[in-house]
Amino acid sequence: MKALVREQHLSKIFFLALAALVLCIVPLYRYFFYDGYASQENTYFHMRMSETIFSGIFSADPAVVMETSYFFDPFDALLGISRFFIGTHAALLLPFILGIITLFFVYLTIAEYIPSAKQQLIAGIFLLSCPLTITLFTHATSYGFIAFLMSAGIYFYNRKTWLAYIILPLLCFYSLYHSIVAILFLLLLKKKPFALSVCLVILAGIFSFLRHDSFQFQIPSLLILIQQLFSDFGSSFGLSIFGILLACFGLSTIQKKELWIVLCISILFIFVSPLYAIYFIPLLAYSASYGFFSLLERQWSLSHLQNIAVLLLILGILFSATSMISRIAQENPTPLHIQGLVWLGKNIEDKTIILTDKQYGFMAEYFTHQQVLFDKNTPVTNIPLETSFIFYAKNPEQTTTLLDRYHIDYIIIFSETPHAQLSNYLLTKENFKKIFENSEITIWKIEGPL
Amino acid sequence: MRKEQAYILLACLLVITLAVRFYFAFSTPYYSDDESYFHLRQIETIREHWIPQFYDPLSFSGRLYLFSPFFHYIFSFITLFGSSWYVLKIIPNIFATSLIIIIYFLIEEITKNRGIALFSACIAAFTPIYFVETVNTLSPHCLAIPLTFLFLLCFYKLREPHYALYSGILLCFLVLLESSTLLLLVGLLGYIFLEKIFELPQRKEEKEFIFFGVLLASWFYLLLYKRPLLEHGIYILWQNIPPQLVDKYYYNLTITSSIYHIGLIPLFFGLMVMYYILFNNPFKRSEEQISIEERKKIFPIIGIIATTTILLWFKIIEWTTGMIYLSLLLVILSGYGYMLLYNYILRTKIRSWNTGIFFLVFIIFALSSSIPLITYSTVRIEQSITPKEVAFLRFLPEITSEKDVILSLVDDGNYIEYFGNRKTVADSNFFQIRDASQRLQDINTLFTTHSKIVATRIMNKYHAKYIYVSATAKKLYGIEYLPYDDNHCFKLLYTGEVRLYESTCS
Repeated sequence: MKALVREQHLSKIFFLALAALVLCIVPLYRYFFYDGYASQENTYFHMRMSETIFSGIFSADPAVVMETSYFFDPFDALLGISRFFIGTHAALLLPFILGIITLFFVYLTIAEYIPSAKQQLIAGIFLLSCPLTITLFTHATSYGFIAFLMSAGIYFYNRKTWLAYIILPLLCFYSLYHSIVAILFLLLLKKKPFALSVCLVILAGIFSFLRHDSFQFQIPSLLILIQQLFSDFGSSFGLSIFGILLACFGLSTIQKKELWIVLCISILFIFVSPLYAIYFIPLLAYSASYGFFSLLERQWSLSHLQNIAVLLLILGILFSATSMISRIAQENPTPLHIQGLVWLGKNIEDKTIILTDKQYGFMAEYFTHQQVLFDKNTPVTNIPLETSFIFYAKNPEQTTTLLDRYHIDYIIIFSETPHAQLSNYLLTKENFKKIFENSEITIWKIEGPL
Repeated sequence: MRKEQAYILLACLLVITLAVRFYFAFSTPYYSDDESYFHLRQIETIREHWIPQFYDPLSFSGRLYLFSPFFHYIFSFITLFGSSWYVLKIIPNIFATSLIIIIYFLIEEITKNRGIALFSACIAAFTPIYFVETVNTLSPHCLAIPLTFLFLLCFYKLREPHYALYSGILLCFLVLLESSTLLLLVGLLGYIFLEKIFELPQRKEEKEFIFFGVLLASWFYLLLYKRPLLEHGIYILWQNIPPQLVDKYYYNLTITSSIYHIGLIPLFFGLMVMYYILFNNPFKRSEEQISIEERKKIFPIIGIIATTTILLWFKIIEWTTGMIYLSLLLVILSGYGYMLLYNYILRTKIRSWNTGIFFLVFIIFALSSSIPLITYSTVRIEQSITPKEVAFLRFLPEITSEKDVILSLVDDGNYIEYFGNRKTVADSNFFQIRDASQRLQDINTLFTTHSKIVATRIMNKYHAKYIYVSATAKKLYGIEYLPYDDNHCFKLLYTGEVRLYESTCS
């Protein structure tokens, strides 16, 4: 018994060390090669909001000209507080810290349902090697925080601690579906979560009403869904094919009805949005650990293939994880993007309006501290139709309509934008000047009416 | 039929098939498609430098293209000791013809009847789509398809340890050769599914082997195609072919096209066997019952046929590849159908007409397949590049410099790269090309526009200096000269069967 406790203790320490090692790769890489600027465009939205969140209460994003609603996000507040202590590198450090804590909670919760320390550690390794885990805890976005709330809440609820009643209701600041998943998990743990479930449903309902959630969703085509679900097919928010394969193998050996029910419901949530794949991670790690041991212990008729098959699976899982790390480490903004945006931030006048592709809106807002016409959060209905005329217009009037109507002062063109070529008419105008250019970003200034 | 007798007849069939193939293959010194010249270039590069050219400086004016070079290494090795164009025509045909022997043994294994196996091998030899697509081309198909069926033969005997080893080695070869191996593996997964549905006893070694195969293939292709997968996602299945060209490679599956490309007899007997195996009444008299062993031999083929048909139906695999597999699998299934027919005739009063009936079946096959085979082969041979075009392209290095980029039809790209050794704006391999659709659109505009400014803008966009107007381009756009040709911005440098223009304005 003493030996078992010691083994379990050692496996926890080993898991924590491994988690720290895996999750620190991207922040360190960004720190040394990208001047400490975090990866992914969405991070810069939260960075900006964390700066402004304590300056007042607002229902619309002040940095966007076209109406873009904003609802209080506890993650922005947390990032703001972290910035106070850590400084500008909070976007690199906070996901790392949240990741370590979350993974530890998930590990402890899974470990309660796995008997041997060895298998617990293997489950932990599968948890860590999941590409989605790496994405969650290297991007400073709310998803990592949601995962933290969920794992900590469930862990404390399992331990019958009052902290669960504080942590889990925070999920209500996000989509209603997260609260439903939390209730499902609580039901799976069979701890009669009636009071907490009712509380979660009521709060989530109220917050959804306040946020004007529409609950409309479009089911994507099967091919797109597959692409979004697997990191190996290019999704940055996906799972590993080999991990899923091993988990399926493990599931066939586990005879737990509840697990199947939760799995089926989780699959349904994926149809709402592939982002809900985050709830697959603990299930995947749990089942994959069973699959792995079953694969090792099973007597194969073609015994020489057994070891190769196991080796291929391990290599496949590692391949997905390492590939994800290298992708995230080199994500936007690149050093050349930063160079251009920082330059503009230093040389820009106050109260100007910038036009750029909505994908890069967050970065432009953060680095220049000026307003953009629209960004990724702007509803499609609020994005002016004339935007496309800047790129494709054959009629000069169409080209200038948007620029004049919204008093746009700067246009930022990123090389990755599809059809990133301005219309010929615009290029011939004298008061339309190129003020900055490198191979990845071009900045144009509009001086007076065209 | 005695073994020796069957082997002599099989050898005769091989000689006849090779003779017919050589007749078509040597009717032109060139290959029928431009893609063969990409493979030829890689083979020659390996022979010279021992490594393939993953970074191609000529294609799309320089691009990184990752592929499995196993096929190119095999052919480089074969042609290591002095190659000539006829060796590279003979060897693919020999490989393709070897399929006849494999089909013979495969059907003999299923039906245990040498006569029927020989009859089916004869049909396989002249299956229109397979014959036409492998007779005058240099592609991994000529090796991958025979090896796929050899793998199937070994898969039947997986219980024997040395066959398990052969299957493993063959699978590795297939994975390295061509990505269509995934079709085989998905088909075998379909086989396991069918076994479950029909509650047949499942062999542990088969399940293990398929699991291993799926793992191996997935791992290898994910590793090899990591970059394109990240760029194109799941759309990698369509090889990044621009939407304007998708219909050229992915057609609709219709009954008429199936009869034309597969042949009436294999299609009819194949479908009949599928119906018989899947919907045969289990309460029939015991002599009419299908044994478990027979079902287990037919099910892998049905599994692959079902998968191929579904993928063809949804246009997920290239039409030609899918149809080749479908036709040959139906030939194997039809072999079992002939046996059923043979056994049925033996139980009737017309048993003495047996030979006559099979002769009639053969006549129907010959009539229904020979016409598409000859016409389709002739058309394909006619599609080959002409000696005059080759002569001009070989002259290109004399009149252009190494840095010059040539804009041409997509189908002429590989010819310019191989014969002319010059950079192109586009060729027919769009894999990993981000702006493939845009390039195709621009090429189309260049050949159709009347505006010199638009044409100059396109030429400058791709830093292209010359426009190559081949006979195919003239036919496709119905032009003799470019519409904006006035010797000012576009100077006509050469005119003959082909035209070459130089862009002089910037």
